[in-house]
Amino acid sequence: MAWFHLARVKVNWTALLILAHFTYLLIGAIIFQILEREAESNNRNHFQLEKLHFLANYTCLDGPALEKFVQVILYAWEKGVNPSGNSTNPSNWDFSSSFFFAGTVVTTIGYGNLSPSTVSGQVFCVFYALCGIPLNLAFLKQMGKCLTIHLGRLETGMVAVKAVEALAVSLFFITGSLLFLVIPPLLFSYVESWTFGEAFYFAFITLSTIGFGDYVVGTDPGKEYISLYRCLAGIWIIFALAWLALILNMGVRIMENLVILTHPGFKKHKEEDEEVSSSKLEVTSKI
Amino acid sequence: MLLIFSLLLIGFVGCLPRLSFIPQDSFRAPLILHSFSEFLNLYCVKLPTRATVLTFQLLSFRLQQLVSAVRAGVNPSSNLSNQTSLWDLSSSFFFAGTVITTIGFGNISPHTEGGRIFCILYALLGIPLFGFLLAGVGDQLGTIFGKGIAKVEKMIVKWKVSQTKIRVISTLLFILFGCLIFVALPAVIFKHIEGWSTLESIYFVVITLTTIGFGDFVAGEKGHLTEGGSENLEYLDYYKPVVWFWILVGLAYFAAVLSMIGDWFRVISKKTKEEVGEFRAHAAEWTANVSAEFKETRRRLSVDIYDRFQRAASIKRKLSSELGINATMNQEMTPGKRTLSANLGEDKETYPSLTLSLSPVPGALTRNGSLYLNGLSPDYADRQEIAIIENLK
Repeated sequence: MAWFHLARVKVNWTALLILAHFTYLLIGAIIFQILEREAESNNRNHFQLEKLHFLANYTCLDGPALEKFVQVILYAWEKGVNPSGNSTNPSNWDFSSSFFFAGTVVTTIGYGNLSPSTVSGQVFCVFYALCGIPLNLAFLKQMGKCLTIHLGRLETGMVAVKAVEALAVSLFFITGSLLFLVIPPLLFSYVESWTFGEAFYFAFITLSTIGFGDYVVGTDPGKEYISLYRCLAGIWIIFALAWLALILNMGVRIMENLVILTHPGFKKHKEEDEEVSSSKLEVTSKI
Repeated sequence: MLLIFSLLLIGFVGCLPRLSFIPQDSFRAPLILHSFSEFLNLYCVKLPTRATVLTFQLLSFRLQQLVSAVRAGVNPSSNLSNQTSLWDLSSSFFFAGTVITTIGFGNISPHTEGGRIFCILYALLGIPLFGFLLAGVGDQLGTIFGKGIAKVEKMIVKWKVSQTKIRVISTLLFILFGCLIFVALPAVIFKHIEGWSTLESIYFVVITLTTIGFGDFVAGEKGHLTEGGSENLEYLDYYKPVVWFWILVGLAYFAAVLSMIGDWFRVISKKTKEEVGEFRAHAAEWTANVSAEFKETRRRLSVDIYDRFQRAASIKRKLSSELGINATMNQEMTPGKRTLSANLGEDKETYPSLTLSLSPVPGALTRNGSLYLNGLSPDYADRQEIAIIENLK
């Protein structure tokens, strides 16, 4: 990221950003509250009604008994065992699931439906993350660079007409979006019986590495998955992230060119500073 | 290629946790089933037959309901009266923060359609914004730290320590200091306030600051999903904003640490590249030397041959000039000379080659040509010249 000094006014960039950030958070908090709070209270009321109905129907249970029952279920849930279904569920830690889990750690998605519960697992997870995340970032950066170089070669091979170049770039963009953002959600919605909106929401939350964990592929106990399902999902995540890295690379370059074109008077800092802050930017955006 | 290989290695190593997890998991499911059946026995079998008996299918149906309730964020184990909403202002603020830092704990997540669409748009704009902010904060941290290091370096320079040692020491100090402020201290605070164990607090700190954010431990959310769910911990009002501020600065620190680790990787890969490059340069040098030598010898040889030809040509010229002087002289071949010339005549096959190779030299050719054209027949001239050469020798 390049720091720019305006001609006369030296803007304290950091203070401005902090202010903008805080305002953005505030706006987000208010809007989320408006959107979700009502639904939450509706859900709560509904659940309380369900409880009462249950108690009325099954009179062998009284209130405290039901509470105890609920405690057991919550305990199971926290430990990562899905209490519905029977015990012949596929293990959460067979090979492909562990591969998927390692992928979510290294890409910092971190769904949370599954997390290490043993002490040794937690310790190992910490060290694994500390080494794996920079490696993953370097990998993605390199993939972005490689793809950009190949794309550049493709472009120089074509006619040096701006329109054709723009067409090629947009075509590449469209095919990439289709391949990584449209087709996998379709597949997921088919396999997991989600709606397309839910599948797209899942894809977005995963690829931005937010990873709430409210939707995770391959965790429905009532479905039969092929054994490599989670492996394939992990591979999709990695390639889609690499493609996103490429897009980000290209976007940054385009922005830089635009700024240089429109504001030739701006000065840039030294190459060193740029590299350091751009690597930080990449680290934080994790692409 | 190296990176792809190392990524595969990561994936392989990542399967190691399953070795430690599987025993636990396989024990747990039967345990839970056991407690269910215990529960059933306790509450349903002993009661009078008028009560509807809970069968296992009904129980599982009930379980599904509960699971969906938990997924929707409702805490099933409390009454209406003492619940705080998951979406009051401070919690929503916290949630918005987890979205744009991409931590994404997941204990709260939007469930309405409108909420989800807004979440997507919010993230698309907010994540780059947060990236810039983090870069800015990281730079400030870096400058503050750099000034401190400069002061320390001034002091250490008096002790005459080498530059690299200073760099190494300063890096170590940075890591240690940062760990203390951003990892150890918050871990102690969390342990005290949230009641976690030491390992759990450190685990939470690392998982949050690397933005993995599993959500199994979340600061400030203890009142919602716990075993003793009716007791809500009383948090101070400014607890959550302070936690938020810590996350921001801690993220900058962690970004710096991770980029340092990345730099080490890059340095290592550069070193190996350099060594490979050196090796290649050596090999190229060697082949270049060999071919240069080869060319040199060829050149010398050809120069040598050329010199010899030149000498022969000059001798021939001298001879022909002498021949021209002695043109009227009676060329009597003594028998000895005749035999000599006859013997030397066998060498005639070499002589044409000499003349042929001498033809590129124009000066000699014209002289020779003029000599030949002076009426001397070639054969006669050859024999004569050879005899003269022999006499001269």
